[in-house]
Parts: sequence; C-alpha cells; structure tokens
Amino acid sequence: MIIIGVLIRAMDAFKLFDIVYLVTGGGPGNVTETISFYTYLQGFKFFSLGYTAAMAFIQLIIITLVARFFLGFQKRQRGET
Amino acid sequence: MRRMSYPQKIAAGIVLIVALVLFLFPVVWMFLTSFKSESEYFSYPPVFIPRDFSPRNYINAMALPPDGRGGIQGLRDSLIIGLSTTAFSMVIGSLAAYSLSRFKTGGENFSFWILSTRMFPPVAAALPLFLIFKQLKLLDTHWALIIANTVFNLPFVIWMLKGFFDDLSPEMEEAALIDGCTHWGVFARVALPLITPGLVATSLFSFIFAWNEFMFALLLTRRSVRTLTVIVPSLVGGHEILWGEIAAIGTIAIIPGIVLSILFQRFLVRGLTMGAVKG
Repeated sequence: MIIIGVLIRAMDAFKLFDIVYLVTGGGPGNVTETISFYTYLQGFKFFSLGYTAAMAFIQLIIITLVARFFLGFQKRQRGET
Repeated sequence: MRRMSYPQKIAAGIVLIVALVLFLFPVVWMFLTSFKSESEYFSYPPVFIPRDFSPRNYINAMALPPDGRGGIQGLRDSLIIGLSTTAFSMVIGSLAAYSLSRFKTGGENFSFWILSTRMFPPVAAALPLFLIFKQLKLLDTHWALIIANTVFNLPFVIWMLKGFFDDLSPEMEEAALIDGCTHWGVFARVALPLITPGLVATSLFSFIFAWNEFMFALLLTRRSVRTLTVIVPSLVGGHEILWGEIAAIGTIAIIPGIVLSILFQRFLVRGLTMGAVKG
C-alpha cells in the first residue's frame, strides 16, 4: 500500500508543471525548470518539435524503468508474506 | 478503537488544530483577499478583515475582465468540459473495467498497461495531441479538451471501477444469466446498481481532475475556449497583477469541489474503503 502511494506521488512530482508555470516560470535562471516545464518550453515556445518528441520518449523510458523497479519490489514483498 | 485518556484527547485536538490552520490558512487568506480593496492586498501590518465586504472583485472578475473575456466564460467552459469528460470517461471506463474484471480481457498485463498510461507525463503527450488536433481542426474547441482529459482520466477510472467489480460476487450475475439475462442486461441491471457508491465516488474524482486540469487547457485552447484554470494566470499582467480578481476566481473555482465532496461524503468514504486501490 505504501509502495503504491510512494509510486503515485513520485510520478506526480515527476510530472510537476502548473506550479512551476504559475509561481516561478522556471526561474530564477533555470533552477526550477522541471522536465515537464522544459519540454513545454522546447515544444511550445521554441517549436523544436523533433527535440521535444525525443524528450517525451526519454521520459517514457524513465517512467517505465521506475515503475518496473517498484513493481518488482512489490512482487518480491508479496511473495515473502 | 481504543479509548483515549483526557490529556491524549487534548493533545490530539491541538495537533489537529495546528494541522488545520496550516492547511486552511492559504484558502482563508484567498477568500479574504477576494473582498479586499487594492490598497489592502500588501499593506503592513497585514489586513485580516477587509474594511468593506464589497463584491467588486467578483463583479470585475466575472463581467469586466481586462481582456474582454471574463470569468463567466471560464465557468461555462470549465463546467462543459468537466461534465462531458466525466460522462465519457464513466461510460467507457465502466464498460472497460467490467470486461477487465469479468472476462480478463487482454490477459494479466493489459490492465497494468492501462495504468501505466497514467504514469506517462501529460506534457510528453501534449505535443503529439497538439499536432493531431491541429490537423483535425479541433484546436480551441471544447472537444480537444474533452478528448484529452478523458484519455488521461480513463486509467484512473478504469482501475477504481475494476476494484469495485472485483469485489462483487459473481454468483449474483450467474443467477441473472441463468434467468435469461444477456451479458448487457447483467451489466446494466445487476452489476452497475450494486456499485452505485463506487460510481458516484469515481465520477466525482473524474470531475475534479478535469476541473483542475491546467496544462492541456493552456496548450490546446486559446481564445474561444478558456477554462477557469487558464484565466487565472492571464490575470498576471506585465505591469499589474490583479490579486483581488485572481482571489475571486480562485474562490469560485474551489466551490464545486467542496460542495460536491460534502454532498457525496458518505459515498466517498464508502467508495474508497469498499474497493479501489488494494496493495
């Protein structure tokens, strides 16, 4: 149960976008640019579409790896109990 | 539950009050700010109770927006999108959840694959969606947001409803099948009525997700459709930030969630403990 909570929360934090957009706009400089916000900038402000598509794909890979890790962890625990 | 001694009760009460103050203070402050006049926003010492509770900020935010498109439009668009998204995702979601739960459609991994689309960052899907909607001439229409929100609500809806369907005992449905019901009849007349609390809780969550959705609304619509969530940042202007109007729209925007949650509180608690996420 806690694992699922952590997983969902971690995914949400990874997707953080609206707070960055409203509060800091990525600044000062670029210290608060989350990957979601950076993707948005590249895609919709600078219109480098191929770059954005590649970044989307990389994010997908990262998320898949994280999810697999958590699920494997969960499966092992369930096997033990 | 174990009975608490008197000092323990006091301690628990203090902790609860501190937590409530921490969580509610920003909301209360927003509510108060929505009634303040311009000079009171940042005055020092801070003004807690506005001098006159005049609704001018609400009127301004609703009727006289700085760019000619006001909060009324935002309210309308948010409602249209929220309600249609809920309707679509409930219809598709309940059918999908039922088939996943009863017929094990797609094997064991298919249901996890559906959940995995929820982990996908929406911003990564935003660009492809933008290009597709552009070709279909759906940009800046309600349909764009309804479709996008439905797609991203569906995994959640399916998984929540699947939990409820899993909890139903199949015997009742088998009995209905023997008595001559079709599969559709079993679904509509037996299974759905039995999980009404779950349906209510799920549609409530679905509505709130669509209501709060910001990024798709920002990217996929521009002029003719503007949800409340997009109107708020548009009030942060270059040389002036309309704090009062922002607070007014914020206050209006949190009302549906609060009202619906209070109305359906019974269903929510029952819904979440009955089925839903089980580790």
